[in-house]
Amino acid sequence: MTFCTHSPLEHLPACASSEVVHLNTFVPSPSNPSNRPASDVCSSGTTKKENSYSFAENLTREIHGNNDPIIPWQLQSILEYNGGAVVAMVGKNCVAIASDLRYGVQAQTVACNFPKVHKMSDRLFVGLSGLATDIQTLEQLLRFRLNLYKLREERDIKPETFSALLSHILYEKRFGPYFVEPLVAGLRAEDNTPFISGMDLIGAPVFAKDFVVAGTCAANLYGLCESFFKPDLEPEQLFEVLSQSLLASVDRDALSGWGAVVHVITPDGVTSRTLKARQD
Amino acid sequence: MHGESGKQSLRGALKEDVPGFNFDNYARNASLPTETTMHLPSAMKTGTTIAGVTFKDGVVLGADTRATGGTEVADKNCEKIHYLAPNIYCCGAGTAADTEKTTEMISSQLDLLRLSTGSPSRVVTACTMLKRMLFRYQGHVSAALVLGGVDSSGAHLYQIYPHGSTDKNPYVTMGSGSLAAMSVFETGFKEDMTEAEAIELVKEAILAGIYNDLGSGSNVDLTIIRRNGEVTVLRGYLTPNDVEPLRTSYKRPAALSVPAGATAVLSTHMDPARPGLEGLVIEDATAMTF
Amino acid sequence: MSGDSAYSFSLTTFSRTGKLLQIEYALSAAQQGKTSLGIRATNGVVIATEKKLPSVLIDEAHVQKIELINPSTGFVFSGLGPDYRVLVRKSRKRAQSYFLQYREHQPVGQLVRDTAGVMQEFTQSGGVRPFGLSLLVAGYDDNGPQLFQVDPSGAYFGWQATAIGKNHVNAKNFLEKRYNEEMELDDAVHTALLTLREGFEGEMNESNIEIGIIGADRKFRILTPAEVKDYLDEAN
Repeated sequence: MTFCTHSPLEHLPACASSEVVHLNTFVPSPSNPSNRPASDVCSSGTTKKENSYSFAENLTREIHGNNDPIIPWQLQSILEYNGGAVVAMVGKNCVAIASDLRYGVQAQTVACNFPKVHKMSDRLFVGLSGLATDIQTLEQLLRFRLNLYKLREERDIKPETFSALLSHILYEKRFGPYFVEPLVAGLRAEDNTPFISGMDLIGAPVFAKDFVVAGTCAANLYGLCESFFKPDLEPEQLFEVLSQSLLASVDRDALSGWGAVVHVITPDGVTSRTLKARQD
Repeated sequence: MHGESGKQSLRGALKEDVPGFNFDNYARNASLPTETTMHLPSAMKTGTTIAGVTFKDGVVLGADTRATGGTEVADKNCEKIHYLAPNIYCCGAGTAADTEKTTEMISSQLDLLRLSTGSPSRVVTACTMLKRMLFRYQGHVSAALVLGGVDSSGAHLYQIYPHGSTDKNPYVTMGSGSLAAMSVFETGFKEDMTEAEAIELVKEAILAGIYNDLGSGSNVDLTIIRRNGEVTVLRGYLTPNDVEPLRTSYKRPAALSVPAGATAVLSTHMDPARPGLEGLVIEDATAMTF
Repeated sequence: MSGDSAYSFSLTTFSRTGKLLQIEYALSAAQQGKTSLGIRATNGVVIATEKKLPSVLIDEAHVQKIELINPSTGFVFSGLGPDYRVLVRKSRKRAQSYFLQYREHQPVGQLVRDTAGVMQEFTQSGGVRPFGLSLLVAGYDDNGPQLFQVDPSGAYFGWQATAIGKNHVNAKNFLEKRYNEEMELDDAVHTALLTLREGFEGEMNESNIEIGIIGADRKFRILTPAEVKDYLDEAN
């Protein structure tokens, strides 16, 4: 119910809040009263310690008439560093999985061609939200493991087996995790029944019979999916329900959006659509 | 030197089936910008009320079914009573992945032991394996367990703390709802109860957790293990918080039915199924494009 | 360490005629073992073996030749018993590790391949000798009922019916005549008993043979002496 007391990151040094400097933020400091970025501000947005201010200090300055832009929130975890939203939903003999397209570095949007859903086989997709570097690493690792599996077993992996493998890979790194929250969506080969699952960053699985969500607007997605979801939707209906849930969710989240991609998996094949979405 | 160690860890990442935990990302994670790590990612926890009692003919284990990530309910109906052996089950509270994987691992070891000895597992064996495992990780594997089962020496009930200490009691509770559950046990426990009495008591204890502890919720799961070797797994024994009946009985407003064509689509691509070819195709990586 | 490996090389060195004699000798050891056989039916697999003992004083109840590896796979062997136990232990451990990783029972083909891999390693490593036994593996997975044989070299084959051990040539001839593809599990058990009886010295009874079966329920099990007796009575 509370934050994990034995969190995987417990051992990491907690930073002193006075060391925090946000991107897009510059405030006058004792050593640089000119209120202009100095050469000691490196391109990645970190600065030397002495002219750094905490979020709270920045806010105070804002209130006291400083017009510099500041980020209106505090990063809650590294999982929110790049932003993103992923959601999967089951229908009748079909399943859909979707993500937004934003790739950002905190408040700055860097690209809007970063889908977080990846095709693992003809009827199996994985959605990865979280830290972009880990999304890419894990995607490649999963593809490697899956290709080996196919060569060795001469068959396609079952969705539940893939989910178990992913959970195993994540838990192996229990004390040095990938900062990724994955979703799995697939159609079973035997009877075309849908499978979805979600996971936390160390592989604790959630098996739901309706929908699973992940990303920086997970709470929004929960709310919309709870309202919009109906059991046994046909592929076209499922697409609309999932798309509207996702779009409405990312529109209320500054860290995700900038387009979306939706995959609907049916026995006949996969329909992938890119959505028209707000670009703000 | 640096290149060499990088190579080594890549090789490590591609290796399958290496026993034990992998610390490849540890240094990387420690070097992440400090402002991003001041608030730690929350692993999923099972806030949890778990409990067990012994009765005349065996043990009854009970659990709620809520899993949380932070204050968010991550799973409304998760399974917290884990199978260890045909005659032994184990309730888990704490970090969800830890309880899940620890019990899976011990279950596997018990299975191997049964195959090589040709005799049923004993509860004390499971308890010792679990406590050794948890003690080895000094509480970092955060699993708080209620272990129950029957064997040749009778019915047994243990509680196991994340650091590896254990207690053996006729009635035990664990998790964030343990106090609520224990208050029920302390009031209602009797020696040599009948099965029906024991089930009723555990049910009330779990309900006390569900209604009074924020970390616990949804349903009551029960597992009854009897001295004669019979086991009954009652998944969803009680579902007092199920919203499904309400949802299906109530006609939703039209606004909640998304009409066809409501979503503006920029492009559509249909990948037809390739029956019979699925297993032969090796996919390549397609990062950053779609 | 390096001193060791410089002087310890495999006992299985090629002869000038291109043979690995140690492996052939290991195969001979397997072929001198008690006969074992297996038959794949349409809906399952049966494996059976003799366990006649050198002395009447030995307690037959404590001799077990058929072993469960994972719920859907069973082994039987002909050859050296102690070597068999090593292999069984390794294969069981491998099957558990597969299950932990994929939450799915290891398919028979994969288990056979891994076990054969272990046997091959023991023909090419320093300080070890090949396993003196042949294995029969019975299993049932998504690919249906399957029967495999693994030899000391690490070679493995899939069979409809086969035999290993002392009487394997005669037994295979017998099976070739009796086998048909429509055979169901019950018939296969009877055929297995008849084949075993062909080379059996003395009276066959429920305590000097062992039978393991796996049906469409994908649960491998060793028949109890009472069940074996029933089958024997039916065959008479």
